[in-house]
Amino acid sequence: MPDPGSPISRRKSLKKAAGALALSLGAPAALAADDSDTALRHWKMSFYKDSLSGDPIGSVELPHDLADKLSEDGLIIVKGIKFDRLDVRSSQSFDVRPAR
Amino acid sequence: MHLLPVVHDRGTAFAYDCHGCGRCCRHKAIRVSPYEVARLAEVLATTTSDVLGRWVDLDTNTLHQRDGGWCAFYDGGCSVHPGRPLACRFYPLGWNAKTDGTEAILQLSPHPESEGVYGTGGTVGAYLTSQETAPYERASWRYSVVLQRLRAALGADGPDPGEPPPIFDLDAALAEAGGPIPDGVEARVDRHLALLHEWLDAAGAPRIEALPGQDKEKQGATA
Repeated sequence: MPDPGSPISRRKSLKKAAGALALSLGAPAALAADDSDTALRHWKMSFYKDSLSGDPIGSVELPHDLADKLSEDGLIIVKGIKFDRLDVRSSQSFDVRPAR
Repeated sequence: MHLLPVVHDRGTAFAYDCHGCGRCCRHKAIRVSPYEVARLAEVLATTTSDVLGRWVDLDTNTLHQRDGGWCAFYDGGCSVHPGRPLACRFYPLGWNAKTDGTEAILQLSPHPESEGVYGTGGTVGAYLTSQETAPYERASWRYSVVLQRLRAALGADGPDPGEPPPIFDLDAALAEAGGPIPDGVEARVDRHLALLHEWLDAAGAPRIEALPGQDKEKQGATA
């Protein structure tokens, strides 16, 4: 039976499910350039275990054009793309945020 | 891999003739969704548990690669072609979709030695129809509704629903839930999604109607 008195457990359960599904669907939340020089700009989509934690647990480097598309608000599915490299190492990842 | 500065829609003139060189089957991270795992299991005449245990890196949700970076299912050609993942069906295109139902079709740059031949004799929509992407797209939309509900639930208080049903292992999820297990991938996905939504209801997650793109007939997609 659901336990209404366990907010930490609830959040943990929800994050576990959301992380697994977000990674599967490739749903990023935000992106940022890692270089202020536009001509040399590289973009990185990083995955975090928790929105409040420190270092990313993995990342994907992206070309500028793709990063532009992925940085649009409301993106929920990034499928049909064969990434050259994906070094995310946790199905617990949930938040994606700018990385420098 | 990088992108050409090209963003298509489904009506854009496009054609691609794959000559089976296999270069797009090497050194690629192919992420799989619950639906794609189920389709692979169907082709391999096994369970989703078996597919996940033998061919999927559970940390990244990507298909295993063999020595040399070849896809685990590449054997001089795709050994699971009828159940190949969406990324393989879209290639050399990519697909992004947003919660408002809009989408972008991106053209990826080819492998420098690819033997694939591009043309303009068709449309993006016709190409994707030939690759039978529609059921995979529908499934992506349907699972994205679950993700939207999860995100909404994380932003609000509610009851603890306990452990979620297995997200990737449909067979395990349905066995865990008990009751008859329907035949066919689509029926089992229906049941899996129902279980996930029941769990979200128990978590007090706000209901979200179908995303605008979920049932939208895409131009050319069903031609």
